[in-house]
Amino acid sequence: MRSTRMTPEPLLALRGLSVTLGRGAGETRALEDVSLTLAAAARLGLVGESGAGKSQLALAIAGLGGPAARVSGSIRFEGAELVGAPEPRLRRVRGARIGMVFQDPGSALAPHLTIGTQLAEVLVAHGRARGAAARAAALAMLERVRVPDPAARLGQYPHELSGGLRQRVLIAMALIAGPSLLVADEPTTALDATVEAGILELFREAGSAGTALLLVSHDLAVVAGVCEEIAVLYAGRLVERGPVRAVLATPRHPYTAGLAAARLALDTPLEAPLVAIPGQPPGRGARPAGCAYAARCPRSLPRCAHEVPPLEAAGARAVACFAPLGAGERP
Amino acid sequence: MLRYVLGRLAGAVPTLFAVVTLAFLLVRLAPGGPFDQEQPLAPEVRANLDRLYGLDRPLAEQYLRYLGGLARGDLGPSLRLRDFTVRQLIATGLPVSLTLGGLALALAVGLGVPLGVLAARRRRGLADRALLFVAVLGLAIPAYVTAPVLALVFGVHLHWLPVAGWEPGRPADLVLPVLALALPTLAYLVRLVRASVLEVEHELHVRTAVAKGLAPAAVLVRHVLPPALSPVLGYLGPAAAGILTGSLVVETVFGLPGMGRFLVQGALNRDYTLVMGKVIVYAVLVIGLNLVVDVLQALIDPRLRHPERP
Amino acid sequence: MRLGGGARLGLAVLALVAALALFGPAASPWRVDALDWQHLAVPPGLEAGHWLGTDRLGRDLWVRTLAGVRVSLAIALLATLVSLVLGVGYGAIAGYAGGRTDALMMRAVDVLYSLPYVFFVILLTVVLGRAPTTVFLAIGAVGWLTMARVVRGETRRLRSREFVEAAVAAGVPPGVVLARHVVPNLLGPVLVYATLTVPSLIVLESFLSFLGLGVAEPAASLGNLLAQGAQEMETAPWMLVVPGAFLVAIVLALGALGEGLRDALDPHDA
Repeated sequence: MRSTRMTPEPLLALRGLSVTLGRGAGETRALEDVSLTLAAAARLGLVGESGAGKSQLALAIAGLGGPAARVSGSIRFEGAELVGAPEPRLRRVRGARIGMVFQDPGSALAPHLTIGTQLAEVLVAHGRARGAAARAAALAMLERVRVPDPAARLGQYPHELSGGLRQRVLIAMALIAGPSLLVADEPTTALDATVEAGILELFREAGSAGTALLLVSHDLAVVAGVCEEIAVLYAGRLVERGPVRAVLATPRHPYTAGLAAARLALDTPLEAPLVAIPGQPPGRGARPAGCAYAARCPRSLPRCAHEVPPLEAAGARAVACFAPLGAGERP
Repeated sequence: MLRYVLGRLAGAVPTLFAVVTLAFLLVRLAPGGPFDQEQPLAPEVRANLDRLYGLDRPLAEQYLRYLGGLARGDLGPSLRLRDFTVRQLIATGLPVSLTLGGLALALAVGLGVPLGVLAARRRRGLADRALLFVAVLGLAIPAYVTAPVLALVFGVHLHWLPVAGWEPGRPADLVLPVLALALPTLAYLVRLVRASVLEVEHELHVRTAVAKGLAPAAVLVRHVLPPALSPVLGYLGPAAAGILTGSLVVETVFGLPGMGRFLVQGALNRDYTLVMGKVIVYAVLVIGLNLVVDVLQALIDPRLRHPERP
Repeated sequence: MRLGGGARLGLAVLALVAALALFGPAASPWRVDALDWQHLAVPPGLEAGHWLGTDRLGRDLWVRTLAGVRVSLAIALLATLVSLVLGVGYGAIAGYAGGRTDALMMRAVDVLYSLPYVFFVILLTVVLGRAPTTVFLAIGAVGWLTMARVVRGETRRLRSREFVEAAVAAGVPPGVVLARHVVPNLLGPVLVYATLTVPSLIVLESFLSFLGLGVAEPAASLGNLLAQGAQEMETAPWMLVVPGAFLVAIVLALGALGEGLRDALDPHDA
């Protein structure tokens, strides 16, 4: 347990964060009462199945959910509240203090502007540099993310680059203004496995350079390779968090255990059957009253059906389960 | 880029050639001829006329002669308005139509694009609904209704503007025809721009632009508008050709001596040369404007500059 | 597919107008070309049995307008059908074939596009005479060009989609791929485009009638009624207002339906 003694405020602190999508009959909860902190220069991986709310969380941090997403709760970043902050203030944070990297580099870059223009634009928007100085900074940034022949790339358009190079450009754009937090939403999902390793290396480097990382992924291996901490989302709620190695080695939430078991280790014998978690996660519109995982959970108790288990911390780890697994226990 | 422009230019020549050939054949294939009148001409008079205009020659020869004349910029004499050459008739009509059309086009684009953007920004708001309603009305009410209504209200009742007529140096003559001519295009542009802006705003690169911390104006001007205006340009090419060559209706209602005059009469009377001349002017405008549109679209979207590559 | 309120209202208005056009004229004692010399140019009212007034020749406007709606709607629908069949067939083949065939076919469309359509219409009128059939053929002949462009673009897009490539890879012959995998997926955008075309075709028909090339008297169409109304609007404004109101109602309803269909078919339009 942390004491109230002069611990510095974390870089990012989410408190009771909820995101509601749609209106009226079509209203659904994408994210429900999520609390999470991230220290400066720390690397946190956020995992979960599609529809668990990972991307909504990433978008909510920078206020990018659009008018359809209504955010409640609190997002404190660098000591200031972002939920409900006026748009001009959010604009000063976006790009400058929080860099965003999106999933599909093919469509995340503007097709009609050159790489150089799109990079320099960030500096110009935040009054850091303009003209030749901004271009020089763009060139230096492309070098830093190891884009080959960076001077020529400045004048090229996104469609002239490969997918991996585009993602490097997107990362360069997110880092060019020197943000303290990088939010990456499935940054390698659209890429080949061989390209993926190089991109992940860039994230590790950004972390060592002092930029904190929130990495959203459905791939445990990616998170295990890059992050120090992991947070597991299920049906819009945080079910477990803690240090990556500890959580994957001894998962306490049955869902995390299922995820870890479903992951194909390199030393798995070929004839061993693939393990899948039986059943489907509940849709966003049809969340049950109690624990959303109860219907699929081999350990569910009667109370799980109507009571939502709170996230309870123990040391560096926390789990939201009435019947958590003990060390080494299998679900 | 230069190579692209030259390539498109080279591609336009066969198109124009095909248009001329097709128009020539279509005009000739229609039954009847320029000298069929209520009172049939004496056979020898008719034969003389046919000989005079070369209509007694085989069709292929007439075609080649016409092409030869065209290459020298000679469109031939009008077969029905015999005191004029087709060039003279076009030379009097075209400036009127171009002035009128140019102003109407400027008005339609100058108002239609900003209003379309406004409607998209205020999506489902009051301004959006009001603009869409007016735009649909503008499309639904044909020019031959708006034109006389405008003339009646502003000309006959209010006496603000002349009802009809065309005298050089009287700009007031232009106001009502330009308005009537611009209205349908303006209405269509509002809808098109609105739909296009909304479509582009959903694209992921716009979200990236917002995530970079760009101001809303910069997002709109630099990231949304260029791709959104590309389809708008695609519509404007042919539309501009239509407007610039003059609206038959507006010219008829306001009694303007533009390009539309004599086209219908000319075609009904088989005034081959006159109809051909006007069709060629129109085709040159359409092809030329489409070329301009293609180049502008390639300037906006670099992917279009290499059409052979996917 | 869920339609919004606007689209449903549009559909209701269209159904009402269609029902009126089909059964309305029979409810009146007058015929389309019947002249009533006792009631020349009377305004709308109940006394004379001319509910929406009469024109200069004493012809009943209720009957003429509804008959005109019938003719105009029929022409617009038939012309849309013509342009649909031609445009979808041509566009799908060009887009699916790609390469040289595509370039050549679209160049032909460009050529036809470069001819003023009034020219087409006049020539057809000359060859076929003035009749509603000519008008819809002429309008359809022009309308299919744009449709072919729309369809060709959509086909190019579909061509590279996995399910089409899968069918090709599985050895399905091109004709079958086109008919079973491509064309059904074109129907959404084509339908939307068609609902947005019908209004412009109605206006086009009325424009031709105004020029004296469309539906000839004494038959009525919205176009020639409006053209007459525009000439008489100072002395008998109802002659313009009555057919004008029907035209505006139809176009607005079709517009609302088209927008509604687009919204319903458009996944990202929440």
